[in-house]
Amino acid sequence: MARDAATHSGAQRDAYINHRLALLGLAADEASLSRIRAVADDLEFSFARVRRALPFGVEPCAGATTGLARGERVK
Amino acid sequence: MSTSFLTIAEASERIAAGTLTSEQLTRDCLDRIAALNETLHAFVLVREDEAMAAARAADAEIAAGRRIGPLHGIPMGIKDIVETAGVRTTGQSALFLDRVPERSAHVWERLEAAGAILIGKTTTWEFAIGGTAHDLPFPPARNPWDPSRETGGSSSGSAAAVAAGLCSGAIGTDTGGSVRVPAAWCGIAGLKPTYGLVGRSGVYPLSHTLDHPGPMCWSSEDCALMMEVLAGDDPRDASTRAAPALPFTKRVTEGVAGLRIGVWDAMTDHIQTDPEVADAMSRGIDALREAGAEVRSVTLPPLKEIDAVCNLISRSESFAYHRVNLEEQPEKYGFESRARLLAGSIIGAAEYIEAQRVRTLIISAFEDAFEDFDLIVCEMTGSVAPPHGDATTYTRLGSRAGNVTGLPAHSVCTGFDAQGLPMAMQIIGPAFADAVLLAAGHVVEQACGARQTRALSRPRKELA
Repeated sequence: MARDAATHSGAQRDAYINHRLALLGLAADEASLSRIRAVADDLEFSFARVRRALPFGVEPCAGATTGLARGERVK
Repeated sequence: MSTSFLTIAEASERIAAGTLTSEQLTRDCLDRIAALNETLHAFVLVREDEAMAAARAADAEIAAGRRIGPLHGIPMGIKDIVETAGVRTTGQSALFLDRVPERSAHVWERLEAAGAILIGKTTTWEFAIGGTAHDLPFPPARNPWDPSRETGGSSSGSAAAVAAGLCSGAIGTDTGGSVRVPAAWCGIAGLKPTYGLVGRSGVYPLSHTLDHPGPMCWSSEDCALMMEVLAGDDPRDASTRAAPALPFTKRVTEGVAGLRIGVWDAMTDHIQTDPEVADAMSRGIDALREAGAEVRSVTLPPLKEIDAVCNLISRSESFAYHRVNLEEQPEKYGFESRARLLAGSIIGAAEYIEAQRVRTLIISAFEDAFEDFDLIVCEMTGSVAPPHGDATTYTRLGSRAGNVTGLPAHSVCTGFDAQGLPMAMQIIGPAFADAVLLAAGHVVEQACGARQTRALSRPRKELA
């Protein structure tokens, strides 16, 4: 569903945002929706950028959910 | 000049020698706050009576031969998303306007046990996400080098307070650059430590896998003094680990001779770095080379890829944390933070997981780089502090790598531009090399950091 938000603009994306907020029981006034749309533009770029960076196959998994790189070298 | 302009190291040495009292130092800081906070809005709460009482108590202990260490009697500001027992902690939000925690955050527990004095709570963006906003319970902090400029955020008050000599050191938190960017734009030193090195319990979460508390001080040496106390296991934070004892204060003055330093031309593909900022960074690199480091260029993943990963993860995690309150009390949030948080609702689980997978690749790329290098240096921000309300995303991009990888990252002042505004560069290292980063920062500061120049050391006409 979020991919729809990433690849469609205008009315479709607005409908998706409204649908998603309603689904989660959240409310936003028109000014907030306008600001959310602007952030969604930024997210659209992030979705595409991440997808381009992700190869099909196996990648290392250590650290993915901890935010911590391995290694404890101290000089 | 007010003693509040002394570094922690200088003040501590004088207090130990009996030539300065904590009472005098704290009084000078409070006087600066009284004179300047109305303009700078660096503090949302000032504890004048309590701080003076604590200072007198510290002096009595020290006089009786019971000095705890270098932070004993040193006045500090604590970002207002960091809980302090019995002291209001608002998160700069109407949601928590009357919240008085029963227990302090781990970071303040450690500082307090080391004898530091809580002089007040410093201004922050709402829950560290809302940006510079004017619809919150307290006004946004202003940059002491030019109050018409941004401080950067979200640890805006901590940076402004230290830069202006309102306190000797401060705690900030960093999820995408929130210690380092305000440190850079306010001309101070700020460290985002290795993930897991400093406990986060009692700090209002923004993004669980990206959040890091860290010290904000006038110098790298002062950051080392604070890290000596802050680093270590936090029983209430599962992300912390039994890291090796790091020799912060010993290592910080030992230089960079023999270190291999990679220069990451991070921002070249994205924005035009201000020429003065770029020149200042070149001088910083020259200083490291002249101090005996071997300097070569290094290639790492594109900055915008790192930013995209940071964006998806931070928005997902922050929405998850705030979701219930957004549903039940949306009116309590400021406009900007509410919109930013709600935007996280449109990210699906698959996108979040994809971002975490790419994050793993980015971490691997940095680990590979640290096989060949001991430190990496790059731009901190592409520009000096922009005019108030004009902080564009791409001036802050350089900070995200440290959060996505969890690696330590340090913002260090490289001097001042022609307008008198501070400039900075960033130093990144392998996990738990935080002390080495601070040593490199110390070298840069000594060569070009202009640490003798202080903000508002004389009353400015616009502040009169």
